[in-house]
Amino acid sequence: MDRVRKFEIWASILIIAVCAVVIYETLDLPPGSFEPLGSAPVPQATAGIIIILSIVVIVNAFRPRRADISEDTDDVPDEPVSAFLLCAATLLYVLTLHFRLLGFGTLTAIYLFALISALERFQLKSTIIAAVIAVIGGYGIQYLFTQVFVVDLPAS
Amino acid sequence: MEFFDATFAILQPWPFFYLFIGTFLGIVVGGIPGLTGAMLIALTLPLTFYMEPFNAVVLLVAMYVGAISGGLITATLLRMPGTPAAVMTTFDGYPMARGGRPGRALGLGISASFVGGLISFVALVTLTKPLSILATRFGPFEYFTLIMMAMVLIASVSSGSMVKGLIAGFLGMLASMPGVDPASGQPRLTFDWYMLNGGLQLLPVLIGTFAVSQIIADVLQIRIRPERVEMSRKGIIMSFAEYRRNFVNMLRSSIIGTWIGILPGIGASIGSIVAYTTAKNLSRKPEKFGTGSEEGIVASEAANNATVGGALIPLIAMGIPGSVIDAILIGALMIHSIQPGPTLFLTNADIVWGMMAAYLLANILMFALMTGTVGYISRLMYIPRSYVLPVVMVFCVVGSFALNNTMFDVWVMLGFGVAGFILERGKYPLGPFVIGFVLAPLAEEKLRSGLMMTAGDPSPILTRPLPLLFTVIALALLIWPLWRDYRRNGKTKNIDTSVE
Repeated sequence: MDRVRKFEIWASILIIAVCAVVIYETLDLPPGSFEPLGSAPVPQATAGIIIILSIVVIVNAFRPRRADISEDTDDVPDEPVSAFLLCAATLLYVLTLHFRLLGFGTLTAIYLFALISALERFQLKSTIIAAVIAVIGGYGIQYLFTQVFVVDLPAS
Repeated sequence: MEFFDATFAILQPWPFFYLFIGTFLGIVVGGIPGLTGAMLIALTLPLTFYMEPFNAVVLLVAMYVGAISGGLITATLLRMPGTPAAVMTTFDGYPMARGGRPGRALGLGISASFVGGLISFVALVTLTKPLSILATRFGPFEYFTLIMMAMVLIASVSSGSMVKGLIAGFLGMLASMPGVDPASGQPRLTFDWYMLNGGLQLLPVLIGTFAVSQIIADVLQIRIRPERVEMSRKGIIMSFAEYRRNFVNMLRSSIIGTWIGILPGIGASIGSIVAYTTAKNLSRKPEKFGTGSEEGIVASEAANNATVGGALIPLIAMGIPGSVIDAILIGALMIHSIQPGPTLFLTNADIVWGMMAAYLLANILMFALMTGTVGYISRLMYIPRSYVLPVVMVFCVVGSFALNNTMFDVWVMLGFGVAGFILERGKYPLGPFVIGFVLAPLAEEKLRSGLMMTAGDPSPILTRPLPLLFTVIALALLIWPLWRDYRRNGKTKNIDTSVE
C-alpha cells in the first residue's frame, strides 16, 4: 500500500474519532422545548454523514485504482527538518507569549532571528539579514500595532 | 446615481489611499509564490476592526482584485503561479517569456485581466439587484436547500475526490457548531470549557486554515529556487489592433469567468481552466497552446479576473460566497455588524455600491500599477521564503490575538493551521471547509426556523418549487460523478474482456 493511501486511512480514522466524540458529547443535550429540532440533531447528523463518507474513503483506499489515475508525486523532496524547526519555534514563541515571560517586541525579534537563521542554516550573510529583519520586524510590528492601530499585543 | 456617489466617495483621500494600498499589496502578495490573496485578506481583517466599514470594504475588495491579478507575474516569469488562479497562465506565459518576449506575455495577461474585470463589473452592476430582489422572496427552506446545493456544488468541483470535498465541507460545518446554541441558549460541544461558549471565531479559523497551513507547506519546500526569466518591458502595452484581434477570446473568456464566479464556491481556478480549454477547442491553432500561445494567456487571465466580479454577485445578493475569498469577505462584513444577503441593498446600500465602485476602480488601478511597475514588483519574487514566512507567522499570531485580546484565539489559529495542513496533505480541499464553516450557522438557523413555522414538518422541501429544484440539482450533482465513474469502469471492463 502506498503512502498516500496509508495517510488517507489514518486521516479518516482520526476524522471518525472526532465525529464519534461529537456524537457522544451531544447525546445528553435536551430536546427543543419551543422548537421541534433542538440543539443536538444537526451536529449529530453532520457527524454521522462525515463518518459514512470517511468509511467510503477507507474502503476506496483498499480498492485497486485504475491505471489512468496516477498518484500525485512531488518532484521536490520535502524538508521535514525545516517544518519541525518552524513548528517548534512557533510553539515556543506562543507559549512564551501566553505566559508573558518576555515583552512582545523582544520576544518577536528573538523568534524571527532564530527561525530565519535556522532556516538559512546559519550562513553568515543570512544571519546578518536575519538580525536586521528581527529588529525591524519585532519592534516595528510592536510600534505599528500599539501606536498606529492602537491594538493590544500579547505581553506588550 | 448611488454608484457615482460611491465612486466619488472612494476618490476622496483616505478611501483612495486604502484602494491604492489594497491593490498594490494584493499584486505583490499575489506575485509571491506561497503567499495567497486569501492569506493576505485574512491577515488584514484584524486591522479593519478600527476602520470605517466603507473603507474596510474598499481595502479588502482592492486586495482581492490585486491578488488574483498579481499571480500572473510569477506564472509568466517563474512558471510558478503566484495564486492557484494563474496556473493556466504558466502553460503559455512562461514559454512566451522564455522565448524572449516576457514583456509581451505580461502585457497580454495584464490587458486581459483588465478587460475581464470590466466585463464582470457590468454583470455585477446589472445582475446583483434583480437577484437580491428575487432572494428577498426566499423563505427558510429555500435558503436551507440553496446552501446545501452550494455545498454539494463546491465539493463536486473541488480538486481531487468529491467525497473528500464533501467531508471537508461537513467538517467545516461541524467546526462552526461549538458554543451556545442561539435558538435554545443551550451550551453545545463546549466540553464544559467556558472559552468555547462563544464558539470558534471565524478569524483564527481562517488564518489557521489558510495562512498557517500554507506556511507549513511552504517551509517543507523551502529550498526551491525558481528558474528565472530576465524581465523586459518590450511589448507590455497592447495596441488597438491587438485588442481587436483578441476581442472575441477576451469577451468569451470573461463571460465564462463571470458565470463560473457566480456559481457558489467555485472560484477563479476553475473559471480559468474552463476558459482556457474552451479557447483551445475553438482556436484555429490549438497546437500552439502550451508553447506560448497569445490566446491561452488571454483566456486564462480574462477568466480568472472575471470570476472576482461574478463571485461578488451571490455574496451581495444572497449572502452566499462565490469563492473562498468571498467567504472571508462575508466574515469581514459580519465583523462590522453588516449582514450580507438580500436586505443588504436596503440596510447598507452605501456598502454595496462601495464594493462595486471599489471593484471597478481597483481594476483600473491594477492595470495602471501593473503596467507601470511590473518590473519592480517582479524583483520581490526572488526574496527567499525563509525571510518572508517567519514574518507572516508573526502577523498570524498578532492578527488572531487582536480579535478578542486573548491567547485562546492564537491557540485556535495554530490548531486549525495544523488541521488544515493535515487535510491538505490528505488531499482534502480547504475551500469547502471554510465555506462550510461560514455557511453552517445560516443553514442551521434557516432549517430550524423553517421547521418551527411548519411545526416540525420538513415536507416543504419537496413541495415548494425552489427548494425542490435546489434539492434535485444537489442530488444530481451528487449522483452524476458516481454514475460517470460507474460507466467508465464498465467500459474499461468491457475493453479488458474483449482484449482477453
